[in-house]
Amino acid sequence: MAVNVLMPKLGLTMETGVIAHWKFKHGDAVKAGDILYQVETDKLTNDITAEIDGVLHIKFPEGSVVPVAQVVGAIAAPGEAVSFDGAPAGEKTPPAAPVAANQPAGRGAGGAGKVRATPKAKKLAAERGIDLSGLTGTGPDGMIAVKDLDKAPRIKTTPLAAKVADGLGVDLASVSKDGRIFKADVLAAHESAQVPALHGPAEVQAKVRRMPMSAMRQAIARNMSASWAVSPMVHYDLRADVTALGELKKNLCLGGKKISYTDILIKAVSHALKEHPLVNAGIDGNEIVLHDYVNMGVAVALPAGLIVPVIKGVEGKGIGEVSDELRELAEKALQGKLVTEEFSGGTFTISNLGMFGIESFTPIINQPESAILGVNAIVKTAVEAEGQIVMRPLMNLSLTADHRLVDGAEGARFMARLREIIENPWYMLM
Amino acid sequence: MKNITFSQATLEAMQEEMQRDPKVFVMGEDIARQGGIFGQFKDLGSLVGAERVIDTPISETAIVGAAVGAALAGMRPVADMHFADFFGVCMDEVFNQMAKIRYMFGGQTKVPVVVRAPDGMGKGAAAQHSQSVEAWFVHIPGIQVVVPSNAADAKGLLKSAIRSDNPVVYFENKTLFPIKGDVPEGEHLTPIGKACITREGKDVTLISYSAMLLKCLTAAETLAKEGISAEVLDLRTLSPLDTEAILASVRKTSRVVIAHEAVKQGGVGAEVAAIIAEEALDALDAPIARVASPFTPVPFSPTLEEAYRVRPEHIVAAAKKLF
Repeated sequence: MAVNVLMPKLGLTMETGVIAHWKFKHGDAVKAGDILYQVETDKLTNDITAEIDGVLHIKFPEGSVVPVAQVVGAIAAPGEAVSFDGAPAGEKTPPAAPVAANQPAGRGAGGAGKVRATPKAKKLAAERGIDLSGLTGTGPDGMIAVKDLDKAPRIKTTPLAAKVADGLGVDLASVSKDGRIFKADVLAAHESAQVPALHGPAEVQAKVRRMPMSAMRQAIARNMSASWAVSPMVHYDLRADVTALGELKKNLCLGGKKISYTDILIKAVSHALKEHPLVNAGIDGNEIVLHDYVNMGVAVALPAGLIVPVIKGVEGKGIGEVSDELRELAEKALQGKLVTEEFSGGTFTISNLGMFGIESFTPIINQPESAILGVNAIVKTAVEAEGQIVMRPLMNLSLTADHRLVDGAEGARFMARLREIIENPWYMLM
Repeated sequence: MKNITFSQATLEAMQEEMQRDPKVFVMGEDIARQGGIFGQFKDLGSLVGAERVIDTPISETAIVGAAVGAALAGMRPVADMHFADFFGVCMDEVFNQMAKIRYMFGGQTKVPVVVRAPDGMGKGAAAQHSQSVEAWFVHIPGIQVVVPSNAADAKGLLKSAIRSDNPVVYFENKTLFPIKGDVPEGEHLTPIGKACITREGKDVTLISYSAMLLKCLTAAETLAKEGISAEVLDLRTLSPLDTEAILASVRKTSRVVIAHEAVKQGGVGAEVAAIIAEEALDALDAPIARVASPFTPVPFSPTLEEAYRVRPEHIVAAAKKLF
C-alpha cells in the first residue's frame, strides 16, 4: 500500500506551502527518515521526512504552491502503481484557479454562466471577496462548497477599495496584502504598476540575471509595501546617555549570564510602552486595539532575509528571562525552525543595527503595530556637563510611528520617557 | 439510577405520578385486566388502586371525550389509545375539544389530559397498526407532542406530560418498549420543548426522535469509521419544537439529515427543514436531506415491509451525499 506524502500544516495560520526542493527524483528509492522535500512558507523552511521505505512518486514539482493537507506525492512498494486521481489541487507557480477566480463573473467555468454553490459557500465568498466563477465545485452534486473556497486566495476589500480598483483597472489579486485591502493599498499597487519594466539593450540584458524570489522575500516585499502604503509615518531621533545602562549591563553580566544591550532595552521600552499605550497599539477598521501587555518583536537578520520573533508578555518577565528567550528564538530563527506562533502576535518591534555602526535610520513599521524602534550604535561623544566638556557614550534611538494613532507630541513624550528610563535604569524597578 | 426497559420506565412514571397526585387516573382498552397490549400498564392497579386504572369499552371517542370532561372537572386523566392508528376514531374530541377548550374559554379552564399512543411499525402489523401519525398533531395548535427515544426520557417526559396543564400527546414507539436504559430513580422530569444532543459531532447533524433516533446513532457510528463526525440531535418534543437547538447544531456542522419513521410527505422533517431554510440558510454547506418512509401505507408482506423500513445505512448514504 502506498503512503501519501502531504503538505504539512506548520502553523495555525498556514494555508499553503511551496515545495522548495525535492531531495529525490521521481522513482528514487527512499528510506524512512530520509528528508523528502523542503517546504517553504511565508517565513520558514522545514524538512519533510519519509515515513516508510519505498519508491518515491512525485505529484507536484518544485515551485508548486500546494494547500495544506494536500497530497504532494507518495511512497509506494517497488513496482506498485500510484495514481493521483482527482484534479490537482496545487499548480505550478501561482495557481491558475485563483487567477481565474478574479475574472468578472460569467467568464469562469467555460462561460457556463450560473455558478452553483452552497449557501454557506456563497456567503463566505462574499465576505472574503472571492469570485466563485473560477472555482471547481467538489461539494455535494458538484456544487462549490466551503472546502473549495480554500483553493481561491482570500481577498478582502473595503467597498471603496473595490470601487477604486475597478476604476483604475487594478486586479485585486495583484495587491499584495495579508489583511483587508484598503483604498491606499489599491493606489499603491496602481502606482507600482506604472514603474517602467526593467528592460534595456540586448548587451545590457546579457549582464542581467533574474532569479525567483523566495517565499520569504515575497513576504518581506509584500509586508513592507503594505506598511508603507497604509501608515503615514513620522520619524523621531533622540540620543540617550547610556553610561548607567552600560554599568547595569556590566554588573548583570558579572552574575555569570551574558546580558546584551538589546535585552535591557526590551525591558526599558516595555516599561515606557506601559505608560504610552497608543505606541503599543494597532488599528482594526475604525477601532483602536490597545494591549494590556507587551509582546516585543525583535528583528533578526537571516542570510536570505529577515524575521521578527516575538517575546510574549515582556512586562511580566525579568531581564534574564528575556535574554534567554531572545537567544533561543534567534537561534531557532537562524535554523529556520520558528513556528508561526513564535513570530506573530507582536505589539511593538525593536530593530538593532548598532553593531554595524549605524547612527540613525528609519525602520518601517511591522503591521499591524503602531510603531517600531531603531536602535543605533553607541558613540563616544563630547558633551557639556556642569560647564565641562566630557566624553559620554551616547546611543541614538530612531522611532518610526504611525501618525494615524501616535501624534507628534505623544511620540515625543514616549521618546523622552524612554530616554529617562535608559539614563536612569533603576526606574525599571518601579 | 437503574437499568430498566422503556415499558417499565413508563410504568414507574405512572406509579410515581399517581401516588403523588390523587387526581391522576388512567383509562383505556385492556389496560387494567390485561395490563396493556404491550404490558406497559402491568399490575398498575394493584400498585395505585384498582379504581384508578379503568378498562373502557372499545370507543376512542368515549375515552378521549371522558378524559376531556374529567380534566374540565379538575382531574388529570391519562388516556390510552391502544394503537396510535386508532386516533382516527376520536379526532373531533382531540382537535376540536381537547385542543381548543382552553383557548375558546379565554383561559378560564385548563385541559390537563395526556393521551398515550403506541405507534410505529412492528413486525407484520399491517397498514392499520403500524403508522406514525405525529405530524397530524404537530399541525394542531393547543396540543403538545412528545416522542421519547429512550427509557429515561420515557419516564421524564411522561411525568412532565402528566404535570402539564395543557393536553399532551405522548407517542411511544412499540419497538422501544423492551429496550433497556439507565433511568434515574424518583423525581426525574424531562422538560417539554427541549431537544438534546445525544452524540456530539462536527461535520453533519442527524436530527431525529423516537425509535429512528437509535438508527441515527448506529449511522453515526458507521460514519465515524469513515471519518465523518456526526452530531445526533434528539428532538424529544415535536410541538413546541426546540428551534434554538436545531439551529445551533446546524450552524455548527453546516450539514443536516432529518430522519423519521413516518412518511416523508408532510412529515415533521418537512417542518424542521423549513425552519432551517428560513433561519439558517447561509449556514448550509449542502442541501438539507430527509430520510423517511415511502409515501405508501406500511405493507403487510414481510418482504415488502423490510423493503419499506428505513435502515441506518439509508441515513449513512444520505449523510455521505452531503460531502
